[in-house]
Amino acid sequence: MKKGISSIVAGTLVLVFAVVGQAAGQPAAGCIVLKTVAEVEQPYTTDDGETAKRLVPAAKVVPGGEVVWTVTASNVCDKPAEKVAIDNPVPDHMRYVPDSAMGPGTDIAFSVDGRKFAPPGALTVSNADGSERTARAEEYSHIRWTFKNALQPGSVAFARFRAVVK
Amino acid sequence: MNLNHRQLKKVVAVLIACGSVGVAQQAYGAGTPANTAINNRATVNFSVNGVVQAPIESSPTGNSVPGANNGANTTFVVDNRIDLTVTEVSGNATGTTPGQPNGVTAFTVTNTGNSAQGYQLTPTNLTGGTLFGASDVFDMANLRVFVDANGNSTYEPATDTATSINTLAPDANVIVFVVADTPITATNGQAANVRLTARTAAPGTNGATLMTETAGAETPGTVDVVFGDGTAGGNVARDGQGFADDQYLVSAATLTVAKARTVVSDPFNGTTNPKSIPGAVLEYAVTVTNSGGTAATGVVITDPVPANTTFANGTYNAGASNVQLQVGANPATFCVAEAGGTDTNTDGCVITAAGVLTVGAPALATVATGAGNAVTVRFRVTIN
Repeated sequence: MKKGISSIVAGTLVLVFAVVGQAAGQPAAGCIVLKTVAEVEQPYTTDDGETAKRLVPAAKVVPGGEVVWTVTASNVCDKPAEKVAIDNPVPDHMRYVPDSAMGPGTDIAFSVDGRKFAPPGALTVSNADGSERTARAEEYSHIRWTFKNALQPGSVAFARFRAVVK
Repeated sequence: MNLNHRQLKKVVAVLIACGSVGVAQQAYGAGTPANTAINNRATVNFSVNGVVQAPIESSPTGNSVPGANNGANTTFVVDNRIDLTVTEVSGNATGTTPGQPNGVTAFTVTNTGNSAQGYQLTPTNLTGGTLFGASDVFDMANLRVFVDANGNSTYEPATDTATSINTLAPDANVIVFVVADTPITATNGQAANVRLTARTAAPGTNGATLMTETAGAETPGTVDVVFGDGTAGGNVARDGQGFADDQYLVSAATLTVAKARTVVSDPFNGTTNPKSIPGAVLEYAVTVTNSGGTAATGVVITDPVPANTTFANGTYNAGASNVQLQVGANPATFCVAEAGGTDTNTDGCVITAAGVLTVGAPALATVATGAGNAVTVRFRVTIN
């Protein structure tokens, strides 16, 4: 299973590098090309006869269906990009899947209002009586990935989360 | 007005609460409606050489132009999830009697999908199987199906005439009646199981155009049809159909009649060891017992006055009546059987011109079930 996921990640990265090569030949107004794709997991049988999952473009998504959102940031300049932070709202009509946000080399924070971001457990919401409690994952409205290291020229940063259609 | 920190917190809490109310109004039990576009756009903030750069928005193919609205949404459309439930309403069998027409069983059809649908409705007799503790042993006749037009959960033949569900909104439900006739041959305690099957059809087609799943890969931008119905109650998963079963249980009246004779008196021995000699008074007791499952109504007892005897008058109720009725151990009641065939006092008791004692309504009409409700009719004759 773990092997399956890592091969999916590798496949995504290869795809992105191809896009970077294409984008490099075009005039780029900014230093980062940001791309969002929506995909769903599809079970399939490998050549070894094992059942694995692969990501295919979001298809036949109905209420209850899970979508994998993948954001890639490619540095197309010749200078490092520092303090890179990707913000992504949880789309309308969708509910964030707990613990699904991931991104190599990132600190991940969440928000329930798009303004105040905090790691899970540190994010609180106010009850009607003014008291505070820890926000639940399904209440997250925004996700922020903050990259610990600078994004070097020609390299690609990667952030992903899953959400379910309400 | 200056708000302190605590008050400010309260205001924020109220604002958040209002916000979540708005979200709740968008929530659907059956899920996000079909054809809803779901959009997503990420934003990246970064610096180069210590200088903060303008944020860049994402696009499906990659965007590097800084600034708001220079990116584009990555979008997909929510497809049409067909889902329904059919449930039996009462949780027990519908009672019926042999020969009874238009027995009604009720079902609820609920659209749990995310778009409006119609439904084709089919009632069927089941063969065998146990429901509510009784096994199916006969079939109902003349099965029909009707939709509850006014939502009152009561079958009204003049009102509930639709035989299919034309359009049912997501999350909405409607009552469907299966109406059937009980064969006269059915006997007490027998059960007939019936099934209502609802098949998803295109809305507005009166159930005529059945929905089919979209085969193959997704066509972007179009709404595909996906069957999402489950297996509850023995249903087949993902077939766009739902069914539930109900039962008709026959409750018939089963009457037995017994007749006893006692000698009350004779002219020589009086009431002490009387013998059946001419001039003796005999009492006949006709007892009707209902061992079935339901009360018998419209019961009429007829008994010819035996040959060579004469119906005795003034025999009960201090001489005022000539027939005694008794239900179980209850106090006796009385009526007067008039000779000549005309029930002048309309008490239900008369002796026809042919000499047949008839006891019916209102003196006697109903024989309830059980030995304790047995009805005994007594009358006396004199041996000629």
